[in-house]
Amino acid sequence: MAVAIIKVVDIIKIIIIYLVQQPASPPVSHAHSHSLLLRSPSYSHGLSTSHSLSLTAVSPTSPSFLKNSTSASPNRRWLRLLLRRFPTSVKLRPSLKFWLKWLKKVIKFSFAVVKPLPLTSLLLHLEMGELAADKHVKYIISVEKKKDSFESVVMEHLRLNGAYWGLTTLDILGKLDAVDEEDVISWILKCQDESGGFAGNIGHDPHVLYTLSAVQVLALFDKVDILDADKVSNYIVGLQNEDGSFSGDIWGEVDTRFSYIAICCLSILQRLDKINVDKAVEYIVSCKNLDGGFGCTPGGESHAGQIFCCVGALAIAGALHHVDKDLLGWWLCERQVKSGGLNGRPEKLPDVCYSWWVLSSLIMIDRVHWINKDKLVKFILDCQDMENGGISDRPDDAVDVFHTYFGVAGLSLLEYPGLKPIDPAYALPVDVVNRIFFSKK
Amino acid sequence: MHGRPRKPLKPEDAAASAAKAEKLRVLQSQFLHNHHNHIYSKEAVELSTKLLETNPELYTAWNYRKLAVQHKLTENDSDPDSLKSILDEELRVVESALRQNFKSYGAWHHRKWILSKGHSSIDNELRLLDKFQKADSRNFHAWNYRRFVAASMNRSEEDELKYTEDMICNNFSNYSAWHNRSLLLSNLLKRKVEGFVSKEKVLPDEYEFVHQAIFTDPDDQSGWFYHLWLLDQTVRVDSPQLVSSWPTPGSDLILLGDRCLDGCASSPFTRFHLDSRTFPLVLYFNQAVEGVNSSTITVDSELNTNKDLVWKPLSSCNSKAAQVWVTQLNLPDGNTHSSKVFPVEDSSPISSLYQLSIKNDNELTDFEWRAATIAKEIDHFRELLSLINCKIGKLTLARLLMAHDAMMCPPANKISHSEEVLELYNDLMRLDPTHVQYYKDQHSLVLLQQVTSNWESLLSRCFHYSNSPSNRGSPMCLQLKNLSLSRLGSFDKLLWVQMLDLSHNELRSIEGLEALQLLSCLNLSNNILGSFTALEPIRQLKSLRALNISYNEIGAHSIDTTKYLCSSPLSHSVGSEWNHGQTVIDDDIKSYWEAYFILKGLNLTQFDIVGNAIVNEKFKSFLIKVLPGLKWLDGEQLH
Repeated sequence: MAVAIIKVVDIIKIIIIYLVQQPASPPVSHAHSHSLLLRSPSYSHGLSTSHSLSLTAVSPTSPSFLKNSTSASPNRRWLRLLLRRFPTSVKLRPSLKFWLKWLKKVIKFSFAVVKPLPLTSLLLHLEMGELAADKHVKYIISVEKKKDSFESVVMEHLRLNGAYWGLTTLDILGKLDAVDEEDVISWILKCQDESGGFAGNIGHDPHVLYTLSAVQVLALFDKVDILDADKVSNYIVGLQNEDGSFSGDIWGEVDTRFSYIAICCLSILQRLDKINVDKAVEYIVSCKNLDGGFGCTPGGESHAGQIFCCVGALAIAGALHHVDKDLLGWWLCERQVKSGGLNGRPEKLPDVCYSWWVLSSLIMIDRVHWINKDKLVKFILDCQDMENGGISDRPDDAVDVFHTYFGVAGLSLLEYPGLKPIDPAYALPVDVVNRIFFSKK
Repeated sequence: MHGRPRKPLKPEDAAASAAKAEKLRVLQSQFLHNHHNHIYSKEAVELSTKLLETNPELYTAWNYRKLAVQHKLTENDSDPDSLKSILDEELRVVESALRQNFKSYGAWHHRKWILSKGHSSIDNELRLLDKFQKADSRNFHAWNYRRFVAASMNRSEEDELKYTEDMICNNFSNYSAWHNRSLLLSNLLKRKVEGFVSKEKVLPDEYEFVHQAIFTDPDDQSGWFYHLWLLDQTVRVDSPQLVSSWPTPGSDLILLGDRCLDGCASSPFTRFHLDSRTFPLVLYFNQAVEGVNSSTITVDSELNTNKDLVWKPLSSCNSKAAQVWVTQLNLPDGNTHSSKVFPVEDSSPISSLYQLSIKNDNELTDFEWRAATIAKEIDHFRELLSLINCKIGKLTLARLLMAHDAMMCPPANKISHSEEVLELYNDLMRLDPTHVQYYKDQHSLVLLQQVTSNWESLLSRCFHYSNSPSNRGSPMCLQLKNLSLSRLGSFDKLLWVQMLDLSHNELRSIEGLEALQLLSCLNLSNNILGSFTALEPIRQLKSLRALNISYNEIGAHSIDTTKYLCSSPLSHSVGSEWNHGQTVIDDDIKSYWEAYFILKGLNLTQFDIVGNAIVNEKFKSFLIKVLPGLKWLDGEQLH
C-alpha cells in the first residue's frame, strides 16, 4: 500500500495555471492544495472550470507526450522548464512541508513565466490523454468477427449501418485497408433488394436507412460506380410524398431523417434533380421550431440528431438561408455541459454521439466557435476504453461501434491531429466527398 | 451501449448471454423463413410476437406483421368483430414492445399504421399516453404520438395547452412540455381563437408562468428558450420594414467622376465616387423579403425612369428572398467629368424607418404595450440578478436592454444602454468561459451598434487613405480596426461605405458584408478568416477593386465551417451547372475550388494574400489566372 502511494505521488506532477481573465487571485489554502495532490491522476474533470487558481494533476501520459513533441513550441518550453523544477527523484514520500515549499516555488515561477500565455487551452491539452487509435482499429475489427454475443444478434438487422460506422471510423484513422474490400462489397450487394433499396442485412427488408449506408460505404471504397445509380435513386424518388417529405420505406413512416437520407444519397449518386428539391426543402422548413431547431415531423420537438438531419439536408440542397443561424447556434452551443460533453436536448445527459450531431450542425452554420472545443476533445477522449479500444457514450460505460464512430468523427471535426477531416454534411471523409464531386471524367 | 457500465462479463453471465443469443438467433432465422415464404399462420405470427417482445427494433418483423394483418383482413373482411380482435392484438403487441423499449421507432409507427385501419378507439390512446408520459415525461416519440392522436381526435388546442400546463406545474424542468406549449400558443395566436386574439392579453400570463421556472432554478434551461420566444413575440413587428437605404430617401447625391479633382466639402455619406457608368441603389430590410420590383418600389430620379430598373436580391443561395436588394441606375452619357447634384428619392409602399415615426393610433397602443412589457421584464431580471448572480439573468437582461433600445430609438437618439450591455457581456465571458466566443460575438455586435449609432462617432473613424492632394476627391476610409471585433453587424448604418478597414480584429466571418454595395477597397488583414468560402459575401461586391486578406488563417484548417454557406459544387445550388460540364475542371480548380468560386467573378486590381497557409508559388500563379485584371499582388506589380 505504502509503495502504491509513493508511486502515485511520484507520477503526479503539479502545474499551476493562472487563468488570464481573472484579477489577482487569493493565495491557495494549504489544506486544499494538499488534498488535490493526493488525488489520482484520472481525477481532473471539474478542475479546469475553477476561476481563480486551479491545480491540476497531470496524467502520467502527459510527460511522455511532452517528450515526444520535438517541436519547440513556446507553449511547451515553459512547461518543460516548470516540470524540471519538480522533484522527480523523490524516492520516499516527501513531507507536507516539502510539498508546500515546492508549491510556493512553482507558484512564484508560474506567475513570472506563465501569465501571458493562452493557458486555459494549454492546460486542457495537457490534461488529455491521447487517442488510442490502434486500439480502436483492433476493436472495430474484433466486433466485425464477434457475431455470437447477444448484442450482435440484436443488432443484426442493422449491420449495414454498423458497417458504415466501423468502416468510416477506420478510414478516418487511415486504416481502411485493414478490411477485405471484396468481402465487404460482395456482402453489401447481397443486401440489395430488387426494388433498388438496401436492407440492413441479408434477408431483411429494404429501407432508406440502409440504402444510404450502402452508398456511403461504396463511396469510401470509390466503388459507387458498381451500382445501378438509376435503380437505387428510383427507389428513393419513389418514396417522396406529395408534401415533399420522404417515407422510410413502403410502409409510410415519415421523418425528416429520411429527407436527409434521400437528399444525401441522391447527391452522392448525382441524381438530385430527380426529386422535387424545393418541395423537400419546404417540408424540412415546416419542421422548424420556435427555438430554431428541427423535429421529426412538423411540431416535433427539437433534437440534436434531427437538427443534424435537417441542417445537413438543407446544406446539401443549398438552402441554409432557411436556418436562423444565431438562434439555432445558441440552442446548439448550450448543449455543452460542464463536463465538456454535449447533450442532445436541454436538461439531458451528455453523450459522445452528440459530438457528431451537434458539432456537425454547428459547423455547417459556422457557429462551432461558440462551444469550447478543448473541453469536448477531453470528454471524448475520457470515454475511450484504453484497455480494449472503442468509445462509449459516457466515461466508464460499455463501448460500441456507434459511439466509437461518433467519437472519432467528432474528434475529426475538432481537427484532432492525425485524423482525416470529415465532411459535416455528407458524413464521409472530405477526400471521399471531393472525389465524388471533383473527379469528373 | 447507452448507459450500460463498462465491465467485463462474468463467465456465468457470458454463458447466459450466449445462450440467450443462440435462442434469439434461432427465432430470427425461423422468422425470416416465414417472412420470405409468406407464412402467416397463427404459430408464425406468434413467433414474430415473441421476437418483437425481445427485440422491438427488428423493423422487418413489424413489416411482416403488417403483411400478416393485411392478409388476415382480406380473409375476414366481412366480420367486424374478428377485424377488431386482429387489430387489438396488434395494439397489445406494440404496447408490450414499447414497455421493452420506449424509443422503438418501428413500434410507434406500427401503432399509427394499425390506427389508420380504423376499428379502434382513439380515446384509449390518450389514456395509454398519459400512463407513458407519466413514466417518461421527455420521451419525444410519445409527444409526437400525442400530437398525432390529438389531431386525429380533433382535440382542441386549448385542452392540449392545459395539458402542457399540468405537466409543467408537475415539474417545470420539462423542455418537451414548454416546446409543445410554444407550438400550441403560436397556433392559437395565429388563428386568433377566442381568448387568444391579442398578444397583449396572452403574453403577460406566459411571462409570469415562465418566470416561475427561471426564478426557481436559473440554471435549468427548460424555460430559457421559451422566454426568448416570448421576447421575440413581444418585439417582432410582423410586416417587414425598410430599415435603411442608400442613398437615403430625399437626399441629394453628389457624384464624382473619374477625373474629378473637385473635393467638395460635403459629407462622406452622400458623396459617391464613380468609376463606371452605373451606380447602385440599395434597400436594407429588417428581414428577408420577396417581390421587390419596379411595381413595389418607386424611384424618382432625374437620371432614370422607373421602368428599366431590375431589382436583385443579395443572397448566397438561389433564394428569391433577401434582406438586401440592389438595382443599378444608369448614368446618362457625358456627365462623369463634372460633379453634379442629382436628387434621388425612393419611396416604398412598405413603411420605412422614416415613415415609421408617423404612427397611427392602433400602432401606438401596440407600441406602448410592447415597450411597457420590455420595461417590466427589465425590472424583473434586474431583481433576479440582485438575488443571484446567474448567467441566464445577465444574458436575458442584455437582450432585453438591446430590445428596449431598438424599440425606443428614433434615428437621432443616442443608444442609452450599450455601455451597460457591453459590461454584461464582459461579465458573462468570465462567468461562463465555455461559451466565451458567443458572448464575444454579441459584444462585437453591440460595440458596432454603438460605433455606428451617430454621425459624429462614425466621422471620428473616417480618414483619408492618402494625403496626396490629387486624391482629395477620393472617398474616405472608415477604419474599424483594432476593435477586437469577432463579428460584423450594423450594416444598415454602413451602406455608404466605399473603403473599409477591418484589419487587426478577430473576424472569422464577414457574414452580411454583401450589403455594402459601394465597397471598392476592403482590408481584412490580420484576422482569423479560416477559408476562402468565408469570403462568400464579397462575390456580391461588384465594385470591389482592392482586397487585402493577408495574415489570416486561410488554408490552415482541415475543417471548413463556411463550406455550406456558399454555393459550391457540393450543394444543389451550383451542383447541376457544374455537373453538366459548363465548367472545365483542371487540377488547379480541383485543389483550389474554394478560391476559384469566390474569386472568379471579381474584377480585382489589387490583392494581398501573403501570410496565409495556402500561399505558395503554385497558388499565386493560379490567382493570376483566375484574376486576369490583377495589377498588384502582395504589393508586387504584375506584368
